[in-house]
Amino acid sequence: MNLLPDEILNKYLDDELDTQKSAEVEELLKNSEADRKRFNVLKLIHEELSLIEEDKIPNGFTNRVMANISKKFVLPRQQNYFILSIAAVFILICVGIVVYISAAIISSSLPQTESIQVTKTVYRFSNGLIMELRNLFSSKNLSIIGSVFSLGIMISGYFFYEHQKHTKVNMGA
Amino acid sequence: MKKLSDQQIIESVRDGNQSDYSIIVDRYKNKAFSLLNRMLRNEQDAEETLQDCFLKAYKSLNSFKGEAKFSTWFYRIVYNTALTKLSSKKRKIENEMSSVDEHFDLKSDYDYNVSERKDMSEFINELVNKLPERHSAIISLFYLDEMSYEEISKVLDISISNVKVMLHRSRNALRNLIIEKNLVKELI
Repeated sequence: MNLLPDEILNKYLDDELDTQKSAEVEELLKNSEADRKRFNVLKLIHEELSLIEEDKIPNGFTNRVMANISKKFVLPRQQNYFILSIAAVFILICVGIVVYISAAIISSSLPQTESIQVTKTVYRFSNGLIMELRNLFSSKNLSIIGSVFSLGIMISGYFFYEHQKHTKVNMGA
Repeated sequence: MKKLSDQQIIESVRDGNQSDYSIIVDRYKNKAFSLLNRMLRNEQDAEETLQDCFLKAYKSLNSFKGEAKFSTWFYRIVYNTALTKLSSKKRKIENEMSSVDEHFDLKSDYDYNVSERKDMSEFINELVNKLPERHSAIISLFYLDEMSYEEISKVLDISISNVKVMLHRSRNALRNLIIEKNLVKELI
């Protein structure tokens, strides 16, 4: 027995057939009990699916979403402030070192008040700078500077990792 | 009070009224939850994923140009996030869902017990959850969200004809199970 194709039945159900084709299908449905049964069950499913109700999400969902939004979209700003404050401390330390070295050099060259040849001054200044840097990076101080920079690198690394993670999450993996 | 359109609410959120976003959340949460429930088949996963979706949508609000309806844009986020979630759960969705030519048969997966007779809508709803994820998503978008074929094709990023094929195939599978199990008299 030749049954009506499923595609035709579905199109008939969705009213997607032209008038002539619809009339033909109606005629065939009248004469075939098997097709009529197939179509009636299909129609029943269509009607029942139209009545399906939406699932209800647990209470408080909206509040949780809004709380998450407040948290997630404020946190980056707070992180920026923290990074800025760390950067400011580093800059202050660097400026301090430069000021300290400059003060040491200037103090060593203060007694000479008469006119000094420029080249001699430059030589002394650069010589003093090298000496100060050598003292600063001596084995005693080097460990302290190394520790400070390591700490800085670790903190920067942590925030870089967090930033990457955050970006990845927002990109939706 | 006049109901604000999605676009009006989005403009307000963009202008800095963050709390107005809760109107959007309230408007779409249950329907999107229904879609995720059908795809993920786990309420907790569905709720968590939906939270992520609303956060993603909020973060990307500036990229929403209003060329498509907000609902289409948002459901696209929901659908893609669900697919990501499914793949992260190591379900073999590529094999299961990649082709619209797939053929599936509900009768081997579902054993209806007449003694546990339920309300017909509930029964058919249960059957929908047995369909492959993408097919149950189409059923949800078409019947629950009352989306057109064109909107569904944009959400799922497939052609309109493929949407129709998949919708028809889903209905046929449900019908075949009902006829196969001789449930017609039970149900009608």
